[in-house]
Amino acid sequence: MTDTRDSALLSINGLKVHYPTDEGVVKALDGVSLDILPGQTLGVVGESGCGKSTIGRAILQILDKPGRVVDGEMMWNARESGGQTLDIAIQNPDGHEMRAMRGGDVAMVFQEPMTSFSPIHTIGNQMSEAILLHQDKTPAEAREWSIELMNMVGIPNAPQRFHEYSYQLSGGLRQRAMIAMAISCSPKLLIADEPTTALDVTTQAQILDLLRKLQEEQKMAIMLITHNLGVIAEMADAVVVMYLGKAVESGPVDDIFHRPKHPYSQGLLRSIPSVQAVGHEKLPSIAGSIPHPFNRPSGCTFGPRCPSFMPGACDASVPRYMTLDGTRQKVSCFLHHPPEEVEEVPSDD
Amino acid sequence: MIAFLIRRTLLAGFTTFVISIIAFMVIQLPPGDFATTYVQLLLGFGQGSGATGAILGDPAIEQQMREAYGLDQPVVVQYLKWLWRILQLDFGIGLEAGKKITEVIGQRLLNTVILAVGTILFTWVLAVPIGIYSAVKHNTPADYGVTFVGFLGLAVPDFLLGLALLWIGFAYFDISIGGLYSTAYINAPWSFDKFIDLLKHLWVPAIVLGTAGTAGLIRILRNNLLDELAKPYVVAARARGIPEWRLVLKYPVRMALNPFISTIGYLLPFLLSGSVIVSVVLSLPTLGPTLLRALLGEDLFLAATIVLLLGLLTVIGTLLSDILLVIFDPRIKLDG
Repeated sequence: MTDTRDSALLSINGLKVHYPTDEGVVKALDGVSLDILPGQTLGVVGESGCGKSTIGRAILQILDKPGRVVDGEMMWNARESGGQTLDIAIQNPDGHEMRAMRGGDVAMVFQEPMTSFSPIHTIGNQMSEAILLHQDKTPAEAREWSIELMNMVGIPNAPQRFHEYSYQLSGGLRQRAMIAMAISCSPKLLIADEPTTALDVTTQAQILDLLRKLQEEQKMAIMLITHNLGVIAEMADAVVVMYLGKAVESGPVDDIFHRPKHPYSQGLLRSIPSVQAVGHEKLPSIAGSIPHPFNRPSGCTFGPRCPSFMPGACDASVPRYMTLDGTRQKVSCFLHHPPEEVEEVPSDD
Repeated sequence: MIAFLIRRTLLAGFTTFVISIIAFMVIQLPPGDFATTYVQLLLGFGQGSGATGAILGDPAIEQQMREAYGLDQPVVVQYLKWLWRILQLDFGIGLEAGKKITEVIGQRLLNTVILAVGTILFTWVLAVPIGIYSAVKHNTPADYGVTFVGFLGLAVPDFLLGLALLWIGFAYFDISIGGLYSTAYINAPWSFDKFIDLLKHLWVPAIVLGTAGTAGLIRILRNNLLDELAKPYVVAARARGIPEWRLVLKYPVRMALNPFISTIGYLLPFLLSGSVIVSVVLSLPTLGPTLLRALLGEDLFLAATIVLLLGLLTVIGTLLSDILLVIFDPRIKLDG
């Protein structure tokens, strides 16, 4: 194990989020571990329904009902700012600490900038609200700061836009306003949940540039949740690949893209269309589909779709999520640490 | 905004004009005309009193009356004459009371409006907080309890509830809870004491009339709010660290109230005409029983006046709710 846990801004260990329903328990997160380092960008990738958005919401304790954190820890390292280390997982969602953290230390940018603003309140009203809540400012100062932020994120005509409604703004401007609102209280961590999915390609690039620029200026960490590997390649320092509520592989972005270890990561990367591709070959895809939430396969949950499936091993026990020797990658796959070895002593070679 | 107001007001004026034509048709519908009916009615019970009886038999008087109201002229002229008198607030004479309609209706109209406003206030004050609570705590025992009581309220006919309250008041507390005023105040001029007396009586009809509305409103608000609570802007607001109760009141409740504002227009006339049975049961001095009697007794000028008033109130209510919606919801385009 590396010493990232001590230097991490947020260290998540074995986080489980369950949604009890009438039909059974949906395990949205089934033991996720990841570390977010200060000032760095962590990309979280995976198919729809793998739980990547749930992580973002779990960090802010704003899970949709009836979802709740049932196990694991989320250690928020506040030592830098002179505070105590706080385990978010055991905080009361409605408590003072969580409310101070939301929009304060941790802010979030959502996928749908259209529906994420109230249609009947002005942009300025919603921006000032967060500022007044977390900072010791008068309404006039909050307004001034909002307009400055809107200038900062490149919204033209900010003083006028302040009084406009979200439907009067274009998609790109709306997302800029959303980002301005998120950084209004200088968060240490910005959770961006599919921030560019609803935008067209040129606007996507602009928003990503903006996020990168703001990250440099504000020295904040970004957790970038997306299914778009291109966005990850462009933005992230480190990557976590998720499958069915678990992290299956993680590591520095270059290592994951050039030397993926887990068959799922390999499959994901193969399925990106290449500009250099010649002819009309069929794009490789990952066989099968995501299992039903109430009918998870035993052993490695990726087993039934895995090209390297090993009967007797992969369906018998769950591979451990551990650092691969000689690399900075963590992976949970029996190809890299056979079951026998894991059961006994961790190997040294 | 001003152009919008002018346009809507003009439109409302036109609608009122159409309603007045319909109201006038009510007068024209039965066989015979007003003078015939009037004379026959007075002949019916006018025998005893000497003076009136003498005048009544006289066909000249009947003819005079026809001329006064233009009954021997074409329908259009009759209508215009009627409309002209109404614009001068002369609605004609009510048959039964033999008094001017303004006198018959005046006090009752005021009572009706007081009762309607009281009922609306009662409904909203009760329904809005319960609806919000029911939605925020949905699928909890408290929500189920409210829902159960709400369905009871919807299912029990209001006149039955009125009767039950009357009986309970009489049998257990030995008081009569009908009417809007104590006997001493019925004809007294307005004073603070009369107002207090009114409040003491108002709550019974307000409860009776408001129960079904309250129950319905709770259901509508709960469902509207449940839709809104799941919207991304609520999650986004929560992610900004806004305290839950403040967040719920500021965003989803504001949105969920929009449909209410648009129903204000129907609320007024519903309360005026829908309260007929209850008003009869609780002997309330409102317009409802008057309309009922006017229709039964073919007192057509009175009936037409009330129909016209109800129509006018609907138009005013709709205009009001349109203006309120524009103020409350910036998405509504003024130049639509």
